[in-house]
Amino acid sequence: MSLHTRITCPGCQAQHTLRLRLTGRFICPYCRAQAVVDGIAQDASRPLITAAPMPDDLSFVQIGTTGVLDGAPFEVIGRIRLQLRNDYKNFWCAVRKEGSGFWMVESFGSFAVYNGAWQPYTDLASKLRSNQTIPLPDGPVTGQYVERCEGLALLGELLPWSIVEPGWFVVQGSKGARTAFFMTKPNVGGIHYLLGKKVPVENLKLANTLPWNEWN
Amino acid sequence: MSGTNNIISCPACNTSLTLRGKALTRALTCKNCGVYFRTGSWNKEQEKFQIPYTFEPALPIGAKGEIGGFIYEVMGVVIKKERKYKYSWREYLIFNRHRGYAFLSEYDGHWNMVWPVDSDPRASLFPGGFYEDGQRFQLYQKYSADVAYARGEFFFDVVDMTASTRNEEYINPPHFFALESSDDSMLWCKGEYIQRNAIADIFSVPLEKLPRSVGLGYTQPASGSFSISSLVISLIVLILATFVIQYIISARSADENIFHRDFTSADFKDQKFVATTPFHLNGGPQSIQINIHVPVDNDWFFSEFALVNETTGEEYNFTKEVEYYHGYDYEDGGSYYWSEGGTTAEAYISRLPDGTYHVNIYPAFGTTVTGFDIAIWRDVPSRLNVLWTIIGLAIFPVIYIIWAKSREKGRWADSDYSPYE
Repeated sequence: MSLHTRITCPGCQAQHTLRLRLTGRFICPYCRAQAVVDGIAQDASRPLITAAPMPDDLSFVQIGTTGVLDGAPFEVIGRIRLQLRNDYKNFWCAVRKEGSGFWMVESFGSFAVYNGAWQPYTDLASKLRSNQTIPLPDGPVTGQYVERCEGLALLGELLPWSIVEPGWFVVQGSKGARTAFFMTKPNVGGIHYLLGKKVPVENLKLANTLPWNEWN
Repeated sequence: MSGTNNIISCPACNTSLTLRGKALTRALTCKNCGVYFRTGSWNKEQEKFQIPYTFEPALPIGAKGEIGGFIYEVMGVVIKKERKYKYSWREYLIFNRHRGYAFLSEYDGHWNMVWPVDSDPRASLFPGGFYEDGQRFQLYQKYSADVAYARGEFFFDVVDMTASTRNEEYINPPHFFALESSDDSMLWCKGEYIQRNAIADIFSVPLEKLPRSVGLGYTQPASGSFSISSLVISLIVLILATFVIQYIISARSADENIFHRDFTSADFKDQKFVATTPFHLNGGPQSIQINIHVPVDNDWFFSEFALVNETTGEEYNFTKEVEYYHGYDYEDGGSYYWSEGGTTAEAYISRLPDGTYHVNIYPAFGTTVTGFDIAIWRDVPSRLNVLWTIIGLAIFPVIYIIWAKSREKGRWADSDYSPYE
């Protein structure tokens, strides 16, 4: 699916223009119907799936938030929210002007960006533990936590993302500013991970965020 | 983007509860019946605690306060009880939308703010601790705990997490690092001591409502807050300055020999004393030093001295004793040489006015001593002044270091890892 391709919502037939060079999914903001795009073409043969409503979790980022990463401006166009047992992760899908995308991940005021695509993890799954060294091709990380994903909500235009049903496990590993996010569902499709870096939120120069006067 | 998940029913009493933390809240207590329950599906158990729900925390739920330019709100409070020694402390969960969550912990009236950090702070290790950013953090305690009381909302299952994690705390007052680890998670937090009255100001709570501080908090900086190393460095600099000043004074002193003579017992045949020849002091108040050398050998010499100002008749009296003994002790089949005393003595008199002086000497000899010699020097810099100055300079640092060490020992009294034991 190329840049600025138009798609038709499988639920309400609304027309949408895709902005990512490689879109994985699109969730209609009007009816929450999912269009699975998979980077090739809109797959109209799939049964209509309606995404769960996005919970309000007090994040100050929103669809339409803009920012700057490594000198390049970006805009947030989608969101996947993972509800973990004792945490949450907002994967904000951001697009640069030329159509490349990345994930800006936020949890309790802590930010990281994941630029690349999902990569297969080929070492032993038993190494995906907290306080364990997890070997990766460009250097190991130390496991920080293993959490079960209990809920998942999607919104807007998203980069490719394989598992959209809850019940899988996430593993977070870090070393210094480097961080890796692993996604694993027992007996299903192997383990994949994203590699990224932690970023102080001030460095992202976020704008058009949600004003927050409620508690002040 | 508001969802519909902000209202939940208590599973025990069915009271409708509005979640302040919205989707962030993962566990809470019922405002009506006090039961603790989770919002997720993984654990449907309800918890009741040892401490009754009527307990009122010092910082009320919903209290707001500004910390570091950000408004934090108190979301929940727990009382945790350590498993081994059974002591308790209170932890308040506070939240700011932009900064995330943090904790305020209170034990014995001492407060710490604790916040999660993204990465492992251990830059380099040493036995019982690590260095972070050049600072030495030493293991203070390891413990496991349980929640004995909870009230409010929590962004994680505080009961399960407390029960399943092991904790380590490393201190460098006023800062510390805490590691909370289990098979599934590892979380580093950084903490900093906060004064009790600062907590009262931040959350607009009357100071008397906060627990009184008892003893020295384990992360409380020592009051006065001189660092011992800076104190020692300052002392060394001052001592060096004293030596420099002494050197300058010495260089400018005349240090002139004005009298020198050997006396023998024959000089005292018909009299009990002998007088030196007169000598003159002029050019303003100045010191003299009288050096006495007596060749005593397992014997003694004693003398009274009177320095007489011939112009005014004023006398300066002093005595000196010279004795020197030595020999061998025989013990355990071996012999050990010993000696005590010496063959010289000196007297120093400062700020003598101009005039003509002589010294009257009233000696008493031991059995073998046959003579002695006297040398008098004028405008002599006093080495004792340097000694007294150094002692004076060292008094405060020495007392402070002893006091600080004693306080540090007290700080570690509750630790199983005290470096003082």
